[in-house]
Amino acid sequence: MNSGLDRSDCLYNRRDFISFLVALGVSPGLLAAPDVEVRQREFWVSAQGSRSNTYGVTRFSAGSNRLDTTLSGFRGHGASQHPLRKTSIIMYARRPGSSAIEVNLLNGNIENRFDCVDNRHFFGHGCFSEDGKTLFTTEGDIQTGEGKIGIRDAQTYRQIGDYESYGIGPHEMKLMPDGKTLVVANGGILTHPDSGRKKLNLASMASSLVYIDAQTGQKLDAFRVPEPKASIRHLDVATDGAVALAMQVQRSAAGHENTVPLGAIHKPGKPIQLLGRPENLIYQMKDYMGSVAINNKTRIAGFTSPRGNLAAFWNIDDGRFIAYHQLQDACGLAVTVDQRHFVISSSFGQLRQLDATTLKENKAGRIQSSGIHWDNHLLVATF
Amino acid sequence: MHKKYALFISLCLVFLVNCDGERDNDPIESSAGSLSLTLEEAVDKTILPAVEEFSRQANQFNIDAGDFCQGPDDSRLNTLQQGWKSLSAQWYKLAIYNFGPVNDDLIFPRITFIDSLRLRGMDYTNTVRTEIANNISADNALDEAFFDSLTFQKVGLLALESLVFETTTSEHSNDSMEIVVDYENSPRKCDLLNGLANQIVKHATYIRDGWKVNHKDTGNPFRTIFLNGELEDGAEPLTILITSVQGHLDYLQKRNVAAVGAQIADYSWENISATIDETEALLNGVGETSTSFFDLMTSSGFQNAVALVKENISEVRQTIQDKDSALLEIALGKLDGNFKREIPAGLQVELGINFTDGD
Repeated sequence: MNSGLDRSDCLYNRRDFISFLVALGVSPGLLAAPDVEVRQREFWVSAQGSRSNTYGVTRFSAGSNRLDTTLSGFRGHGASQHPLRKTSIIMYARRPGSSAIEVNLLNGNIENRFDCVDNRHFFGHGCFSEDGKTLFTTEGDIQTGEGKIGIRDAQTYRQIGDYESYGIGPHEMKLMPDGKTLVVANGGILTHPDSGRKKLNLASMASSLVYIDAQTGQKLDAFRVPEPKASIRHLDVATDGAVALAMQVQRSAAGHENTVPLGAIHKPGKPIQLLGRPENLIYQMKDYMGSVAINNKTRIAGFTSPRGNLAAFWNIDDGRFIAYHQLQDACGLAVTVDQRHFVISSSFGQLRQLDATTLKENKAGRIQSSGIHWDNHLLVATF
Repeated sequence: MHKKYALFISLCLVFLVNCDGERDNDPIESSAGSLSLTLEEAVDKTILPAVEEFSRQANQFNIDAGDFCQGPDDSRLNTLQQGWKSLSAQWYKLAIYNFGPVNDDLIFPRITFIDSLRLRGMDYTNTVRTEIANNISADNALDEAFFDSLTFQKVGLLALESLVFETTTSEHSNDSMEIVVDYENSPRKCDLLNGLANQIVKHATYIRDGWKVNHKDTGNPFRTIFLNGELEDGAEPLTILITSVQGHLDYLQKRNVAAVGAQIADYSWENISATIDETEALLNGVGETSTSFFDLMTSSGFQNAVALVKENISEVRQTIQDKDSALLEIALGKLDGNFKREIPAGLQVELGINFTDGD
């Protein structure tokens, strides 16, 4: 499971080999023998950059092993692929930013740029309706602090309405497989743009997982985890509707030092199942999970912890812990289009691929890019 | 004549250009090369000696435990107690290097089997006392398999501290004569002492061999892996080193180790002092070190940062001398902050994106 010592050797040899092939006029994409067609059109996309003048969207082409960055002018967070313009992705500003951009994966052009309406800010995530005509974004009302779901025309990005998020600090949100229900992670933590990222309600914070009718905005169901200071931030949804949750614990407000589970699974009609073991490993995650991704083929959910410098994996059906992988400042996590690999990104410019079944690393697939600082989330997009 | 003059000038220029090589008294400039050299010297002259010394102290303590159990008396107990103190202080030096062989298993971190407090600041003194009392009154075999099976809460320096510095009676007396009598009345207490001392030797040997011979069956010593920048989590070695020291300072501060650690032996202040000694040695270099992290920072124009770090080290030392835990917490916080800001900046080390504020 843990990686070995051949990082640079493998990387340079592979690069040299690719360079050699390119010189011969052979497409590097052909190296990815299986699913060549798919890999040619597969992009790994993330907010990237460590300084305000380098913030952007960076996309790695799995077919051509090429990295390209589009500067955004703001620090991005999550991203979504546009269902109707599949060569486009939307990147949302990290909270409490107010901007988002649509970027063309093929040429890096910014096709559209839009902002929150007055008195709103983004929380860094959004998702599209099933028909792709509507974009939902998690937002905060600056005056009241209430969580909102912004509703936009996905063609023009003009805001056409909003819903309650039924909580404070709605963060990641996804459309359920039924195509009708939104599932929202209300982090429960009140912030205000005037005070930046300062947490204003730790004593009374209340995080929740809420299911909302995407057509009407009605709350369908809501769930909480036992630890009141565990903030549900990120989630992913399996094809059968199982939801994997990644949390962050506000330890200073918890009033105890007990290890708190940071990952959980929620299935329709059942209570939330906490992933509480192995306790030592969870302790090493230092109260912080940054991303979650489900592999539908293997039924494994991966969770990253940049504070713990690791990714950990559990089976979503029986809650069994499977393995972990150590990577410095690992946060972005996604599943390749063919479902064969988990991909992990780090703020030190690394991309690593783990076999989705064995969770062993494919060391030959390591990609190290100097000057690249992958941010919180990784999106795999194809068209 | 004019040509001769030109030739002379040219020769002078060639001479001057050739003089522009490195000299011993040239100021050290921060570069990838000088950082690598400094890191290598830090490993060889500070870290590895700490590893070696912990192993030596563990073996010596094991020998002293054996001698004591041959014929318990006040003198041998005193030797044993001094040995425990030396071992504990050496651990507080080594513990700042919480990576590589010291901590290479996230689920069962070796560090916790040496120092249970280190995991999350939980004091397992009562657990240890109960375990010792139960094992003295039981009749199971106290063999290696038994000791190997013990959980981290029941072993390590804390268990040895209880065995060496107090009786197993409910009063937990610290009187030397009573401790000696306790051993004379309970032969199984010596079995526990020897067994647990041997466990520490095993851990110390694992750490030493990992650093110097073979780390996790890679066939390479961790020293080589570390200095070659081939860490399995992809981290840069200097980043790991800085964050590790910072993590230990943070632990001392947040877990109030001065008030919780080594209370039976009354040795917490000395332990913290050992950490500060090691931290300063790491930054300042020791012995015939040709360069140090402080040197690099100074030559890069961060002399004010160096002065600040030195000032904060002095402040920590003063609070230790005064045994003032409230001020110690503040002083450790400042030094901890230096490892997050001034030192990484001065060495041009990246610590990664800040993911820690609730994204």
